[in-house]
Amino acid sequence: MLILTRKSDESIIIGNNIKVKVLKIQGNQVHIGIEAPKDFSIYREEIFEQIRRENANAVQSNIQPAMLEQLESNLTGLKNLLLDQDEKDPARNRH
Amino acid sequence: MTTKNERPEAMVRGQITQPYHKRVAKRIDDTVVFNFPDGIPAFEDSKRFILAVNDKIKPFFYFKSLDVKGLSFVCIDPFLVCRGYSVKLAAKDQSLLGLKDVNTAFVLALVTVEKDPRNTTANLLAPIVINMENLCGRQVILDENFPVRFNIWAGLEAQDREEHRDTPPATV
Repeated sequence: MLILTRKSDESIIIGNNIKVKVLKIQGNQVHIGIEAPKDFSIYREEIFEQIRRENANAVQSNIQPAMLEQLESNLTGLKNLLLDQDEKDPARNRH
Repeated sequence: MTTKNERPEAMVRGQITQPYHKRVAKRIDDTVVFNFPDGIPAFEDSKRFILAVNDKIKPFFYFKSLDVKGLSFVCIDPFLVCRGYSVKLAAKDQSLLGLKDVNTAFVLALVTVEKDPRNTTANLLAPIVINMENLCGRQVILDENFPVRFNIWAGLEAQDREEHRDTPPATV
């Protein structure tokens, strides 16, 4: 990992179109400003990792036919609650 | 205020509050291929997905990858499970989706199914958003503090209690 030392208001440039600027240092918090092309996604790492983990948890790929039946029956209880909701709200059904 | 009056404002803020589900669900079958140029987090190689409607699990859908064999998810319209839900799409996400009008966005939440259905959760922090005009989709991560593991059962029961709060109980 490349390590650079920066002070408040100093920046680093990555490639020719990404700029990372240290805006403010306050106790153990650092405020960082990032300028990047708009098709670059920028996330807090722990949040991105949480989404990756939850996607991996949500995968149904290992479901065998017998388990699929189990899954479908597990969903039935929820499904009934949801369908009740739908019927209470007839405006939703018109479109 | 009518829905029509609310729309221009919703467009400006890039906020989706109305379910598009009913109208769109009719146009979906497993021959419609959605393109996810970035894949989804943890499955970046999977660029093409289909939604399989299965009456047995309706209103849940199967969200299946065409690129990664055996990769499939269960998903649901998040507005159905969480009444106060809204999606504020960042300008970046709108541009990546080529979305000109947020009202053509179809929003789905990935569902983590647990053995006990009461523990089944929906990911409200990172919904799947599909532009139905060009069939381009991505999993966006919202800035709001929505839960990654929203308990569907508890959420629906809370909604149910709220609705009946003003109605006196049938038996005392």
